Amino acid sequence: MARRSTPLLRRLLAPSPSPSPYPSTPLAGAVSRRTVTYMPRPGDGAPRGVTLIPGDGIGPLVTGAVRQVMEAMHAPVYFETYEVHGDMPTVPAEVIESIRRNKVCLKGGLATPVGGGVSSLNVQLRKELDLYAALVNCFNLPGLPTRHDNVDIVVIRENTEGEYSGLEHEVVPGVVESLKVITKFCSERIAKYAFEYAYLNNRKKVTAVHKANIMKLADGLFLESCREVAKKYPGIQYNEIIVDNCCMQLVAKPEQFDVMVTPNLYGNLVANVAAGIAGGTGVMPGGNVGQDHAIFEQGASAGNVGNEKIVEKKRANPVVLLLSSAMMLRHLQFPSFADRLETAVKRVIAEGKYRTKDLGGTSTTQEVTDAVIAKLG
Amino acid sequence: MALRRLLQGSVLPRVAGRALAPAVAPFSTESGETIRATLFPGDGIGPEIAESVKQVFNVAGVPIEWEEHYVGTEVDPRTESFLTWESLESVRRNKVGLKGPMATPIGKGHRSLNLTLRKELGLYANVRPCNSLPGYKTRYDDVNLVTIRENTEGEYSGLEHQVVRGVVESLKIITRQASLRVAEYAFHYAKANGRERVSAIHKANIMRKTDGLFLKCCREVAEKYPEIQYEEVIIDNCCMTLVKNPVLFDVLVMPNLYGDIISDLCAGLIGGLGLTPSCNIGEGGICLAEAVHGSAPDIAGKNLANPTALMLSAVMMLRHLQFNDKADRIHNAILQTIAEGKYRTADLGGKASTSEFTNAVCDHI
Repeated sequence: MARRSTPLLRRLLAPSPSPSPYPSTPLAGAVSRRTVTYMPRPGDGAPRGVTLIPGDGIGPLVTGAVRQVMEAMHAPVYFETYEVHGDMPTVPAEVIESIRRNKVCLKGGLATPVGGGVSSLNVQLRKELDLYAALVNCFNLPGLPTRHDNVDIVVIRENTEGEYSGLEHEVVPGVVESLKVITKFCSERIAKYAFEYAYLNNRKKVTAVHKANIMKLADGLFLESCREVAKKYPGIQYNEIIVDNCCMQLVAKPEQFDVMVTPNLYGNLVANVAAGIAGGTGVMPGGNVGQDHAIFEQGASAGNVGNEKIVEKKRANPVVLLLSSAMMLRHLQFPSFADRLETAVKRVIAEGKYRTKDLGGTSTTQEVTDAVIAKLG
Repeated sequence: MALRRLLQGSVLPRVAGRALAPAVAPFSTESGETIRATLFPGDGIGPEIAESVKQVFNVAGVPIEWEEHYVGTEVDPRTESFLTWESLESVRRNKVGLKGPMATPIGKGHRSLNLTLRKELGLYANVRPCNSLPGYKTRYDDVNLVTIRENTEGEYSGLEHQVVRGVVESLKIITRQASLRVAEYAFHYAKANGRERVSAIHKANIMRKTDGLFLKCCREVAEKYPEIQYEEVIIDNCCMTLVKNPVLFDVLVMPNLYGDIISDLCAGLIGGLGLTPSCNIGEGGICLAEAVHGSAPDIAGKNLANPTALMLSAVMMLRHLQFNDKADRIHNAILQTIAEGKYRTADLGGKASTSEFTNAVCDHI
């Protein structure tokens, strides 16, 4: 009981109103919150378990930051931590078991050794739990200067098949084949997820990214599925764009894109380009979701765990994982905690005093974390 | 005569699957000897911009004699496309060519024009230098990189089939031979053009065998060029770094699909396909420079087209022929004209016509 009343009391006793997440309401400046409230069901405040995988490289640093902030907010989540590293042959069964039980996981990156032996654990987790949609939210953060403005793109990427099927073999010495598999089943469900996402989040347009002029059957099947689903959502605009043109347009006119749905490999590229133009993979949150489970992590490039120098000097950027954990809190239906966390992070970035190297500053992870905690309302 | 014999002799027999394109086109700049080059003006705005190139070359005194060939109106059964056998023979004979934009006719029973050229001439590497044009402001000011893309295999092998209803497989093929060939060209290009670093772009953490083989070949070639730095970059990081800080890249060598996407991305960084030169390298030292933009039928014949892409591609062709001083003069003339800003075509935000722009370039030579 005390855990829930403390934040309420703090807000009532706060001398200055926290900035409203809905700045357009006329009373935003005067009183802190005059919006229709979120009415929970009894018991909604019970703490939820979340599996936490610190991961490799900068992973432990940034997940540690998330933990500190969650504690400071007294958020109703408790973490079950498991050590997993990218060079393990498989994800340990107990970790999968824990995720199945908790339904939600937060993880740092798992570095895959290049070129040999071990298959990527990031991919393995996604396939094992059938997390078929990967979502990256790329948007301009106020106060963070980038070359492109008006970026607000969500890339939804098919996560289980396509080029990442892992089916490779050497035909004869010196000739290697890799199979790209596209199925109607997977294409349909990712298209459905994309349109449903757009519908639930009041997004106006869904763009399918493909290379069907060259890969006529494979990407043709993907497009067919998208078109079928598009018919069921007449209120949402649908168009298609070839992947190379898409990348060119992203660097020239990113404001034309809203929600993008792509097969696996193109999704990887497009998500990284979109994240790059909006501020970098150090700030763009994302996650993977399936029918029953969700894993939240760095939006794009989850295999990128930074280099030893950053880890040593403890200068990793915790913003991305903090924003992903805000996404997680919303997914768990704790909207007010999600709002507070998001607002605090945005204010720290907007102020510009505490920024890590990839955003042009010199702060350490801990300094940024402390700044976020200080700004929690 | 002697030149031609030299050329034929320099195509080394394939040893252990490695086909060496002659490192430098052995054209000597003997005074007075004109080089014959094939010209495909193409469709739409193609003929106008080809005229611009010819005009500029005349003013600069480039000793090139053009053999013009056009896309036919009927399918030639010998090539299964609208390009005639004579056109292809011409390129094979001359070893250099310049191609304007070609619109592929829709329909069945013939191969696409680009596919025909690629297969018949063995064009295995696509080279696109992307340099920010001084004076033409884009969001990126200091782009100075070259993308070299393997052009024959990879994901674009065209081998797809439907396994059962609703399940399609597409094959990505990587061979040692093709990877070595493009890696050799990339390092040779870097050395010949004074570049310091070659980056191989891959996704070998996921596609371990295919991109792994590509990387292995690049490493083998890298050992033979110790003076050139070599690094490997995963495509995710490459994309991100290109949009955040493109100055960190020098020469990029990639398999087919990544190359397609990254080269268009880099074109976007400097201002679009209307400003990007491109050149295809083929077996036996063939160099076919081309403009990669479309044929723009809506402005065809109206003297509004921007000839920059074709002109810069022609400059690439000249450098391949080792007419370096002439190439530099024309290149500088183009850059100066654009930088001054007085004569810019509509796509760059100006009001000049094609001929005005071309005349301005000629004046600057």
